Amino acid sequence: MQSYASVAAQNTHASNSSLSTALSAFDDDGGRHGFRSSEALNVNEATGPSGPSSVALAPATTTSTTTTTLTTTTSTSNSTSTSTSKRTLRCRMQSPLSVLSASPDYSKVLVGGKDVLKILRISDADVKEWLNLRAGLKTQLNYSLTDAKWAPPFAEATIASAYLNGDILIWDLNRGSQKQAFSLKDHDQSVNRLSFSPIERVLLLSACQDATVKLWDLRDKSGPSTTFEGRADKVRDVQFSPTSPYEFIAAFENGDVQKWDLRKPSEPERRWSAHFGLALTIDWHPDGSVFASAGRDKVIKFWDTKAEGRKPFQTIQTSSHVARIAWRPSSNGIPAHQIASCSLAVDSKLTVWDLGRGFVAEWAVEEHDDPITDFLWTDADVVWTVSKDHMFVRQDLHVAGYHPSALLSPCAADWNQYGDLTFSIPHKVTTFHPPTHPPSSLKTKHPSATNIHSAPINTGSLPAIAVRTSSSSAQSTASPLNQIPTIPSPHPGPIAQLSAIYETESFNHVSFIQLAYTYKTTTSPHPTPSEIWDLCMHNSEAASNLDLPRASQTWKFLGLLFGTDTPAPTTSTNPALFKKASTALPHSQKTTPSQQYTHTPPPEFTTDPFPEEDLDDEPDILDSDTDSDDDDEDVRFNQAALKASKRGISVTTAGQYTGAAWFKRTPFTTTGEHGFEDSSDDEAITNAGSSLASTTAGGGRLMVGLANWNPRSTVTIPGVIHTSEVASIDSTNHHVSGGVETAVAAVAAQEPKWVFEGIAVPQLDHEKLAKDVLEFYGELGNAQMCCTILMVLRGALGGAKIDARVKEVWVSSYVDLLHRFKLWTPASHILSHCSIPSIQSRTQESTTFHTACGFCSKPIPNAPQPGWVCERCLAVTSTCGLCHGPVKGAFTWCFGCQHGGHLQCMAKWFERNRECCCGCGHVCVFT
Amino acid sequence: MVQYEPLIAPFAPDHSDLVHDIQYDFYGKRIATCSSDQRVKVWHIDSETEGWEVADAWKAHDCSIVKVAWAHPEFGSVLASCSYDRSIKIWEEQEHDECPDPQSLSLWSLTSETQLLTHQSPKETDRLPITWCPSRFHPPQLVIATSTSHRLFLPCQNYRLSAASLWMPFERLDPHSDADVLDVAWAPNMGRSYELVATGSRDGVVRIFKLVWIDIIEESGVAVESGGGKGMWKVDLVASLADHGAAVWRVSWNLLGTVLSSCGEDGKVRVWRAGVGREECQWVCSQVIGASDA
Repeated sequence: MQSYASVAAQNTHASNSSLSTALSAFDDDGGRHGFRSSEALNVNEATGPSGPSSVALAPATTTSTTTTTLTTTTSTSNSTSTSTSKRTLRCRMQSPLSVLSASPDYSKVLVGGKDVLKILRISDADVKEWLNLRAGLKTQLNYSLTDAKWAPPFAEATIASAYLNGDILIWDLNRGSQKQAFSLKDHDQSVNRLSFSPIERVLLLSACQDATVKLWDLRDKSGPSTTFEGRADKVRDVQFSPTSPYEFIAAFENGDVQKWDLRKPSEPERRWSAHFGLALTIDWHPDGSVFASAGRDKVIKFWDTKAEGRKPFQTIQTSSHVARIAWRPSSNGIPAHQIASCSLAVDSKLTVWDLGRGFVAEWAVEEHDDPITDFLWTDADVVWTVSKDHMFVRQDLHVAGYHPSALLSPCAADWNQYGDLTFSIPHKVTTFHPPTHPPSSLKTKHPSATNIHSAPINTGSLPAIAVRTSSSSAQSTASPLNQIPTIPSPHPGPIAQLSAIYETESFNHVSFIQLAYTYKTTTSPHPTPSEIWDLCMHNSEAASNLDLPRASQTWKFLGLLFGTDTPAPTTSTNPALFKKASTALPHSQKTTPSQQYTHTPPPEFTTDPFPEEDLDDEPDILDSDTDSDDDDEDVRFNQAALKASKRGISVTTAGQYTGAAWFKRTPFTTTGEHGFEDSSDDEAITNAGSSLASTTAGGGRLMVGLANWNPRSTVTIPGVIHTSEVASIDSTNHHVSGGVETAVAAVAAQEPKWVFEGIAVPQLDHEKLAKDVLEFYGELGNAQMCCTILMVLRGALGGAKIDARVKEVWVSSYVDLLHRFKLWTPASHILSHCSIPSIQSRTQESTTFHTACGFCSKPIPNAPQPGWVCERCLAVTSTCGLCHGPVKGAFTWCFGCQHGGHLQCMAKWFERNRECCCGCGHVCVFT
Repeated sequence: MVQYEPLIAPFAPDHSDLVHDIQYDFYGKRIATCSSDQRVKVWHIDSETEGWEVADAWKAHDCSIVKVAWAHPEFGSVLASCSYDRSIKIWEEQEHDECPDPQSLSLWSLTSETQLLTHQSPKETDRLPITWCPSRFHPPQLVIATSTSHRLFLPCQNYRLSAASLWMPFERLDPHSDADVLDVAWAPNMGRSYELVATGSRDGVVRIFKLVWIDIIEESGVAVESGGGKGMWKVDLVASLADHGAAVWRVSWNLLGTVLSSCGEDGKVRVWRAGVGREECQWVCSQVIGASDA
């Protein structure tokens, strides 16, 4: 708001033409901006005539700032309204207030409470006590005030007040010191409400606890001219029609609302069973054909007196018992379409509702600390309120109010474990359909008013949902989509929501579920290398079958690390022999390993082994599909591998790069420049120290030799091609992060087979590497991998210093995920076999068995004899079908005939028999 | 690289006013939605049509319902809802008439109360987005954002349950902005070495904070007790993503804590992923979902 104000200030100094340009520019921007410009103008005007104080004085400046910034939808009526915003005025009385009535010219206001009845004078700047009606009274007012009304124009010196004992006092302000003119006595119970006729100013209606409404002619002081008996219940509210001199409506405690004609006092003209519980308040629409009612059931209902039928044409759900309602006067000639309400208890807000939105208020003002007891509108934006907190407040919606809808999120979204994202987002609807059932009366009277009544269901064209990925745009249509009723025309941009489910592939749950079953782990605390080797190869295969090359390679990598015997001495000359199984070699060339693998690393490699060329620029990795996941993860993995290798060796000089391992392989045709060809049949490699990595001379391809090879075994690993993914890093130009894949793909196409016959044994920090691998997967959130690795390696991880808490996170996250997919069996397996005590203990918790006797169906308490004897019928609950002894442990039975017994007995019996041991003749099937 | 066609499946909550929250249950097989129309709806997948169907819908509150939350299934099929009618309600699905242990649900007692705002009576305009730390390996803790109409507070703050079971304010998540924070979400952690907290705010910026737990060791070598945990968070603002350009009302993480989605008043859902290649992860927008202009 301040920024707008400053804009306006500049404009005042600018020429008129520039101001108009600014405004027209605003208008071009559409409704919302139009509102802003008018705000700026308002500030302008405010600073104009009444001086800068009118802005500075406003006690609610901060509130107004917030409100303005909160505002998303604002009635356009504001933009054309020329009135300046009124600052909030307050006046404190000595006791709680419950009654409020304004003089016809709104210069004074009558406020009253149980023992207060005063007139306040209100100016733009302040509010002051003008007259205390109770002062100097001859007759003592022993009863509490219940209502008071200032008479309409042409009788403006007249005030009527009602009391708990049924008295009605008429005051004449033109009299001298003693203002009380006379009293009207006919009710003998509390008078709940008074209503002056706006047309016949001498007519007054009183609604009474004695279930009657009485009509008084102030010229006739003898008694009521007519008594209307609603035959319903106590009358809580009554109101003369604003347009007809004869009609009034009344609200009853049984929930009835009745419409009467003065000329027909015997029975009501219409009656509606309007509310569940007390009907507390009613208010005529200014057009005189529609009225609203509300009460304890928290619903404001709108009735068309001209329409047939017993149903309201619109309802608004409020959040608390409604004490009073009043239509908000409208500007611009639009019929009133908003109504204010205050609550009976708890809620101290004044809430303004729009007929177009049945659940969310358009405005709320919270200037009181206690519930508002009575209020009235003086114009479209200014409300006077009195409350139990002793205060009278004059407030302007645009200063003190806020839009509750602006507090409500128009968005919602949530993910599930399948990677689905369900969302609702705001969607501006531009096309409208006219309302379907406008009340006939309003339709004829105010053609422009058609959209105020029914809440038209917006059936505007269904929008398509576009998903734009960073690289390409793909579109897909969703329908049907959620539409909320449009808010009627005074709202600039009706907001609907667009809801759909976006099925991302951010989580490959199919593979996850598959692997949960196929991954093998060990239960032995210190698995032997061969056991680890078998498990790793099995798991590698499992991952490979699901097209997860990285996981597959990781398993191989781990298998190589841990699945072999203790490393051989590293200083010896090792025959590292890799024989290629496939015979087809385009051309072989003998080189010495030192020639082949020794090179000086390029400077950028030594300085920074983790190239910063960000893959962010590549749209592919942003894609949510699994493949790209694997790609970017692969790259990271390469780095991790490189990191690992870096720890294993120091990558500084050429000498240390002497190849530890010799790979004989087909040329890397796709890597381009320097074909990777080497063949050295039975060439011995001098292992120059603990070199782990070997790089090609020029091709920039770093081969991380992972093998801690066991000379005993000759293993053929199909598809080792992926080594390049695990163990190769392009060290010179990082463009080959893509090149890696190309290479892999190319090699994959060639399907080479490798035979490892022997290998130099580098000394590796196994634990460290394993830890790096685990942490790498941990960072990716791949708890499945982490947990499975932990459960395969177990004791072999030995020295790896992994925080026990982190392990616990991995295992419990994995178990949690398994539970989410309802994979109970794998989850239980992990829970019961993992070595972390706190996780294991979870199996001991909150597992309950309920046992019931098979004879009497009564539950068998667990203690002291668990399970096999029923204490009630003193029977053994289950006996073995073969030996007839009680079965205290596992009872196995045939699902076909229900007979069974001890596991051993059954096993023994069915070794030789096929039919049931009980003689039932059933050919039992035991699984 | 294969371009996958993003899949959009229809989902029509069919509420009479704005939907304010959507929550999957633990198994991802049910959805609860709540709306300003004072209703909560529970959806499940219809076995025949394979579309989402309403399993139940009921008027739950007397005012806008802003949040729903499923309990862990170990407590049964239990749903909580909260509303501007100033109430929180806990709902339990009852397939049969018998209720296994009604006491367990109906007895909720206030365990702790903490003054967040400077003034005594909170107004309706005070927004307090809140998120639990989902990790069970940290002491119970929250990040609470306080609406910045009360400038005395920075928008986001970590609260931890102290040994005396009082919630104490600890580290602040300083967004370097004074815009209202509209939503805050603590990322699930499946074994990362750090935590992530995302916020969406009225200035249209999605912010991601990285929280690294640092153990505080006293000179004696014993860790210092501080608010239930022995250590403190080192908080870094790692991403400020201003793509929405309009108030961001909802940020939510996927279950692995690797993908973030944000919804804004611009009518768009944006999906964010950590770009890789650096030590400091960079967050980049991978998808924008919204109504097509066509």
